[in-house]
Amino acid sequence: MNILIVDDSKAMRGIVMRAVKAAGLGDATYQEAGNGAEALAAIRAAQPDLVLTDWNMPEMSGFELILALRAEGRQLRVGLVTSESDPGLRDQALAAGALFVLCKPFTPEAVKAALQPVLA
Amino acid sequence: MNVPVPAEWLRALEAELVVLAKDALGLPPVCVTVRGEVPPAGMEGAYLGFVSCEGAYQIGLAATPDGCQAFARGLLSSAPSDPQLPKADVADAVCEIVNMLAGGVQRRLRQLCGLQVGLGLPTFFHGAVQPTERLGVAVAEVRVGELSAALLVLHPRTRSAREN
Repeated sequence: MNILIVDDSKAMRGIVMRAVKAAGLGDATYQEAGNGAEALAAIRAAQPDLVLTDWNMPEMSGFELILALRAEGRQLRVGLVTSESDPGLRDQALAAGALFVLCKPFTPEAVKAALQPVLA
Repeated sequence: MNVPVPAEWLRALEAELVVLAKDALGLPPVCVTVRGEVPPAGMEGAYLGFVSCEGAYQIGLAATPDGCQAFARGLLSSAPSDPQLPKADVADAVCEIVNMLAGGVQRRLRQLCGLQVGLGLPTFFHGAVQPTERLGVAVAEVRVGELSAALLVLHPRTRSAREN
């Protein structure tokens, strides 16, 4: 499985990767991007199986990334990992096709639960 | 909806740091030592702005360079034997900590008074913010084990506050 982790924080990309590996995806191949625009370019070059993206990032947000992927007709599993706690935004993301919205800081259990559809 | 006063923003920020230090950073308990309006000197840290119809607010977390190093190492689960983190990695990690604090403050203020605020992007800084006639600062100095740090809320001063 190829997983793209998108976050403008290098620290958080590392933390998310560690958590996802610990949740059972240790054998996956990981790629990183620093914002939605970089992620979109990476996805166009080689589509991953799963994208885990932050919401608030410079240039292109995680939500804008989801909208851009849908506009291109890409059926791609995207999960949001974000500090945003606004339920309205969460609903917006799910309605736009996000697989899940995981709130930072997260527990290992929450990561595993969010990834259940992927792990199953 | 009642717009929260700076002291309520600060209390929400303090409460979030207590939880985050324990659950995500593996740091000792947080203890507020003093609250005031003067940012401590000689510290560095990160600010994050909130987008709201109710005015421009920012929160900040500041500490000594050693304190910022400790916060960053906590976030990254660094072992005591791991080398010191480069300054850029410390800045990145402290910005991420402030990002998480902001998400918690956002949630607490929504529950407290229904305030809807969006989150901006964090910025790392060196030195103290300067309060002005229009910009006030609410400060909570805290101890986190041996570390000294400060939580800051930058807020617009109301006319009545300026006249007092």
